Amino acid sequence: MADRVQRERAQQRAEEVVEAIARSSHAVDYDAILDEIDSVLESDAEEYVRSFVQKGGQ
Amino acid sequence: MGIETEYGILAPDAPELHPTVLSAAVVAAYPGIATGTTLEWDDPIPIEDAHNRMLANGARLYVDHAHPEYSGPEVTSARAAAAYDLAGDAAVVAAARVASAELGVEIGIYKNNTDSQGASYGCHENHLLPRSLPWESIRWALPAFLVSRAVITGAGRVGIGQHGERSGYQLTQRADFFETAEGIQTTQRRPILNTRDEPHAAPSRYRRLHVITGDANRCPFTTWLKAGALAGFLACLEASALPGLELADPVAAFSTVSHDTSLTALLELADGRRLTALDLQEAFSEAVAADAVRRPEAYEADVNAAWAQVLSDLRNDPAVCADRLDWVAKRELLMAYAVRLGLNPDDAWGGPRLAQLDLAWARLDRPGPFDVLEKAGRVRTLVTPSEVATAGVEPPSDTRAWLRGTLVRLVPERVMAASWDWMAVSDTDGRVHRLDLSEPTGLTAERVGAVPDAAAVDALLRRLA
Repeated sequence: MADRVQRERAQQRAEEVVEAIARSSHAVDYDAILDEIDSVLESDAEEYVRSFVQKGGQ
Repeated sequence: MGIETEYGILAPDAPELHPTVLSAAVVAAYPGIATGTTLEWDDPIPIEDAHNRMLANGARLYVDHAHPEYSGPEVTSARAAAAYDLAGDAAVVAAARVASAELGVEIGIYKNNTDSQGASYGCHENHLLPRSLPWESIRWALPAFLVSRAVITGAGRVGIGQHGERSGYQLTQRADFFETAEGIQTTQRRPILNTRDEPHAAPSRYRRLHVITGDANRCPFTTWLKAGALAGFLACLEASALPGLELADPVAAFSTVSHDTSLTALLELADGRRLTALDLQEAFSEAVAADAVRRPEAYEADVNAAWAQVLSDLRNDPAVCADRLDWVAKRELLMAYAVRLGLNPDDAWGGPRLAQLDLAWARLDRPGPFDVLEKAGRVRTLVTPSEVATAGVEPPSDTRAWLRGTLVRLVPERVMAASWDWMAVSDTDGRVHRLDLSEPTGLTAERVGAVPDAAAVDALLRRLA
């Protein structure tokens, strides 16, 4: 009985670890993406944001 | 149903060009098959200017309030709505590219809904409802749905307030621009419930529900779920199978939901209960799922499943929705960017770098952060590029848009006038035939039959007029 509970707990921990890894790999590796994004952004952020003015709209 | 989008437009090197002129140049330059720019429009669409064009896919491209606007054709599924929405992005970008070359100025096209300097422009959804559904039922049920769905449909925004006067990140582009509960207006004191009821069909049988609270979305999944969940909600409303969930103050609740990225804010209901936006969405999603067991034909099963899954994911860990929802995908990226810049994310929201990335996210006419994420496989694709290309040139086959688009594709120069519910088309002898398209699911491919080429159009006009 105790053995089974322990096995189940171990199993549960393993699943949690796998899940955590999946989540962290989901959350990181933005580096290469951000490198590419940096290269497509205007150099003067402040001027770009200030000049974005729209007229009216529904 | 159908989705219409007003695009942001900017020519930074030619500030003397009024955006209405720029927008007209974009509409006129559309390089695909379309009607001319001087069609006459019958009521209820006013002639704002000469730049109104029907495209071969059944959509309409025009100038509205100093923005180029694309109204997708009438479709019957959320998937088609998403495909024609992407086709609209491609049409406006292609048109802007040609206009840009003609004018010799760079023209930026943006799929967002505010400049954070006081202006907002919309992405409206239209759903056809039976006239027998009383407005009182809609008024009772819809606000809580529209307000709470921001957790799914928000495009994400850096800045809070109509002028971005407070720093921070919020779920939606639009919420700060809604000031009343109900009304017909769309450009000021915007209402959560818009009462504009131009069915573009027999008014004795149909009502058009015009929804103006939504954001324009980049993730195709978000667009698909936005269209499909609202269609499901309305089907459930028609069956009187919705729970009674009425917000005490929908306008205040819309801001509350949009400003709460933790998704835990409690909203007060008219009966005194206090629930979160997620609680409300779960209640609606469950009611829809229950009615779908009884009437599966009234719903899209994949939409219902995806809706329930997204809500469950949002409750457990919103970050896992970065592959599906705009506001999550953008927030994850902005936070990673802040870290890279060495900024404390909580302090960085007010600075120009994150606001710049927010704008670049919305920019369609050149590769930007969203495209980089998509290319890296971080955004779930829903429709293939070839489906989008097809949606750009072919009308949906199962609505009247099929006849409209087919005639535009085959004889664009002979379409003398067009609206959603009628067209005037001349035959080869110059006689003008007026076609009645008032039944939205009337003149479909199946009902009209094959129209192989322009030579077959005369016979078709004689048969239909």
